[in-house]
Amino acid sequence: MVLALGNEPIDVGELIEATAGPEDGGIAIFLGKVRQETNGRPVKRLEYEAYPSMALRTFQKIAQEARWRWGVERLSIVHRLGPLRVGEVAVSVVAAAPHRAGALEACRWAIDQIKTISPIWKKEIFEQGGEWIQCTHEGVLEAAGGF
Amino acid sequence: MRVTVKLFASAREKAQANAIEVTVSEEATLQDLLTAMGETCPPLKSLPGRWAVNLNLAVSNQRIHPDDEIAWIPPVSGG
Repeated sequence: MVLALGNEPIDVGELIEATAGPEDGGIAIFLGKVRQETNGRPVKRLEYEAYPSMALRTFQKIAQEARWRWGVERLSIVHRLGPLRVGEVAVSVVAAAPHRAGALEACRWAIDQIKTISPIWKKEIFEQGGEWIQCTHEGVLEAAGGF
Repeated sequence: MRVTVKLFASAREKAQANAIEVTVSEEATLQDLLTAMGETCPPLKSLPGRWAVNLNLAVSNQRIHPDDEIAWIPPVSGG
């Protein structure tokens, strides 16, 4: 399994290979891609930034929790940083488990967690300028702080 | 004591720096640091965000130690 941040395009096939083992019967994959518009406004590109050491720590926490909640022994998270064009993959989650239920649930939960607790930010660049996207902090980050 | 605060995203842009040095008392808490940071760098005053100390989110009444790694975390938007 792989927990990483990087500037290079994500090779999803390679990530699946690196995650799933012979004991895994179910592999769930999530890809987060750059959409062409936000709130009706066309996007030129997104720019991602992270606090790398802390972001990797949150990926480790997510993988660890997936292990004891769903028995998912192998969960990979790769998040790209830097400028991304429309259609590029910004984040990939691969969850591998003996059976499909755990893999699917863990995969969904993991991407929700990444979007809530990981110190990663995206700036949307559109025709007239750029804007840092904000998602709500309330409640959920408190829970993450005690983990 | 002099404390270095790592800055990211919108905070980094507002301060035009990826870190700033702030002076606080030896007994300072993160709440004190927040006040001092706003005074040292007015563009950072009253910005939404949370403190992270040594790679974990922290609460504002927490005391600061000289070798803590401290970062100001604006509302996140990864994924």
